[in-house]
Amino acid sequence: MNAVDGSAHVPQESYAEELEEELPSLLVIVLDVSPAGWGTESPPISLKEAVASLLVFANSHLALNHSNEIAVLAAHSSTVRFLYPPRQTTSSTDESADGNSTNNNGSQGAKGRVGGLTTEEGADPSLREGSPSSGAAGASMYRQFRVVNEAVVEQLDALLSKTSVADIAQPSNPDVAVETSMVSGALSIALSYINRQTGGGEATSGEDVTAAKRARILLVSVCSDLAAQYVPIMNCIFAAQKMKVPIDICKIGKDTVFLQQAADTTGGVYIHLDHPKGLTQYLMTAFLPDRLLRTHLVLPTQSSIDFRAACFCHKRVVDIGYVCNICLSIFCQPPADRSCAICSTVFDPLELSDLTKQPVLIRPNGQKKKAKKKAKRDEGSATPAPAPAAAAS
Amino acid sequence: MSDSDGSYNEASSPESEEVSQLRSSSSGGGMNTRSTRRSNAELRSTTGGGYIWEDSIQRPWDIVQEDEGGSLATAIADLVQSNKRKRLFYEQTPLQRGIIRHLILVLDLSSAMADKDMRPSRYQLSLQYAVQFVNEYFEQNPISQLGVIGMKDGIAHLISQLGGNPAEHITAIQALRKDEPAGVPSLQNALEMARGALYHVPSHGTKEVVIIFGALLSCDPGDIHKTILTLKTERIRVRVVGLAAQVAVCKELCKQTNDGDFLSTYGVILNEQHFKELLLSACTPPASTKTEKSAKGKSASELMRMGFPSRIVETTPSFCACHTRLLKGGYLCPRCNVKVCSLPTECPACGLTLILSTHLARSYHHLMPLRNWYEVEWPEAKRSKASSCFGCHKPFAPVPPTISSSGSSTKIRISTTSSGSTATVSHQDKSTATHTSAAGPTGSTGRFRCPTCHRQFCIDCDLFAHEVLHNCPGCEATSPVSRRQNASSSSKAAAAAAPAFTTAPVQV
Ligand SMILES: [Zn+2]
Ligand SMILES: [Zn+2]
Ligand SMILES: [Zn+2]
Ligand SMILES: [Zn+2]
Ligand SMILES: [Zn+2]
Ligand SMILES: [Zn+2]
Repeated sequence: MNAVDGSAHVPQESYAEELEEELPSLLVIVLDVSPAGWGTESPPISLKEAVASLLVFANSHLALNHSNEIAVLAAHSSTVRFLYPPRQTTSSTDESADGNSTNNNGSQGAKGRVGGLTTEEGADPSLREGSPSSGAAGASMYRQFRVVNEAVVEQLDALLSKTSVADIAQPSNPDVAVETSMVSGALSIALSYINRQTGGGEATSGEDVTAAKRARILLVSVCSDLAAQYVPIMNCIFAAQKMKVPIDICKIGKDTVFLQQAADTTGGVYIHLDHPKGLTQYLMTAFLPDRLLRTHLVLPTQSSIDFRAACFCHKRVVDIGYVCNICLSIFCQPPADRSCAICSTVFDPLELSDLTKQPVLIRPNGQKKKAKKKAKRDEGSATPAPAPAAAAS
Repeated sequence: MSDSDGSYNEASSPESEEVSQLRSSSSGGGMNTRSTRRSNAELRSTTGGGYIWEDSIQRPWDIVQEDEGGSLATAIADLVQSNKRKRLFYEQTPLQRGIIRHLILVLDLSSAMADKDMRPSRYQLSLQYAVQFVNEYFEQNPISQLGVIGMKDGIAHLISQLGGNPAEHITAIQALRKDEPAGVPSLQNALEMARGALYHVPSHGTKEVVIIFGALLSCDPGDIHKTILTLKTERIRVRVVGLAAQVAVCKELCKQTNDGDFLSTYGVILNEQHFKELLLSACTPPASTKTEKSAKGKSASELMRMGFPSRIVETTPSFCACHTRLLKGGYLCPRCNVKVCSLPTECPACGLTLILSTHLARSYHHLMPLRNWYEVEWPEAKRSKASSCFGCHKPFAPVPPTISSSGSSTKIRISTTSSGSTATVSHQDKSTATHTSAAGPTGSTGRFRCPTCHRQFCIDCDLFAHEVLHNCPGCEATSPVSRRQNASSSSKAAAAAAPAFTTAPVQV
């Protein structure tokens, strides 16, 4: 049954060979920090708690093998930022694109808001104090843990405090925050980073990637609307599948269509958190074991997978779509100008009217005459309904 | 399973591929894909000589230059880079390609394949690559079909039927491994069989034949030129991968069936790696050729209505509508909620074509190719503040202090030229070479910039983004909102809108 979804093309045998030696693995955590996701009226779990859980998880990953590595990315609604390892301070191309919140008033407002999102206390320092990295624990902490924790908290703090309200406002309606985050960007960067860490350009073909190092991605997602990023996300999914990088999804809040496909196609785990307060436990039990261990474990399975797609014309999620047979673009309705918006092919008008016709009611025998009459009348009134059928036959 | 793919071909109209206005006529080839171009660069494919044995002797140590410190590290790094650079030109016009393809892979199983000039033998290696070809083909063309034919003992053997299931073809090819190559090949027989297999193919799909040809002869029952003409009229395109040397009839075959373009369709291998590249380049959907375009008088492309069913898992088994088998799970038709067990298929109840959306999505990078990135020159690198690759974090080579941020630097790069002969740096050049290496460590910055988002990337990320990912990490990480923001500094708006955001969450 699964053989049809394309994942069967990835040979499975090679995994068994790897069992012999314990290879270091690289874990890339992508944390969705979109304000719209975390700033709902009653967030099931606060960002502060989530970050604390993630750091525990990250530390456990590092503790499993001394050569294990980790990278943490934050996907904001307008930008993507490396939390760990932090980018060198001199690099500021991303700074400039972050949206300049030079205005004092604006950034103050943003700061207060971010504090409000994360904790009840309000101010930034609370985010830092609450993290496991500070205070007395810091002194006796394993160095690697502290380095990661401090970098993540510091960078996240910098990112959130710099977010201005305008950054997250919708273009059409500035009073409403965008309900999306740069998940495709974060995944693209994560895959580029994995590509470099697991052998770089020498293994772009994807064959030897597994030999060097194993890598996986964990995406903690809160936002629900990713339809605008359909094609880039699908590209990421196929690249990950080629590189044999599983994408694990930890979903807080509403289900998101394409992320289920991501986990399914790449062989990752998809968990929708029923009790987000127990995030640490979810992470430790379901996401900590790496790919090799997972073959021996009973993992939470996806009960059902949403395979819907997004149309190219309105970025609407559709389950029945119209597909151009030249370029395979998906449209939610037959295009008004009878041509494909992507490849500008002109469609056959006859076929097109066939698609738009309404269902014809079949009447019992007694009413045959009446029905015929009615059909005639329909034809006369130029309804698209029965006309093409007659023309075709 | 194998014929289930055919279901939505039924709804097709006579002729669908359309003239692409976008297609540039710059390169003569019908299919100037990245890989064929790469191979072109490497070998003698230009007809005017350039055979590897005609070149001057090429010694690897000639191209290596020591830097001032007597170290080879920079020279090696530069060589590696220039090799990567060769691969850096990508097709970026969204071509109209035949995405629903029908391809027959013809394997030479004649005694010529027993030759051991490739390890372990031509026969075993070509079977091994054939398996890779099948995998790669279905990876890139998930809704296409493939069939395999063998040439042995003067006749054509059907190895596997035209179908959409890769596992079937692979099993059939693997089964050949135990056999021994024998007899002579017959191109005509194989082509006629391929023609028969492709006869019923709906016209909106492509019809292609890929031949792995090890022999230097073809033992045919009739006039092969007649077959070639029939192939041409039926618009079947033939590609040949020659293992030994160029054969006139193969050249004629490719020329006739590909609109006179045999350069990109007929290749003779140089080594194992090149064999693989030539073969796998046939996996990329071909661009429509001139004859195909001109043959389309009427516009008859059509829109297909398709359903994207969701997968369900049930606790109790239930019957599928297609085979009435008891199964726990399956796919639900989005229109009538009937359960089917496999995709792609046609809904048995309402007739809707059901397909996995991931099947369609695999080909989207052909539609929306990533723009080529251009190399950043030293002065520009100096002006920009980026010090590491946006994708992978790798720090860039530092800008040498001698570079001024205006004006252009002369750039001399030790490079291998396209014909494979090496531009060796002669003694006269040496002084200039060392001069530039003083100015810039390698001559090139190793930075590449996306023309859309202006982020800088390293060469590995450039390759990765164009070959595997098909996304620009920089563009994807920049929201249209913030781009708009940068354009107009809207601090006023931000201050005004601030209260709207602060009120709600604070109460929590
Ligand atoms: Zn639409
Ligand atoms: Zn189209
Ligand atoms: Zn069935
Ligand atoms: Zn149905
Ligand atoms: Zn890079
Ligand atoms: Zn870009």
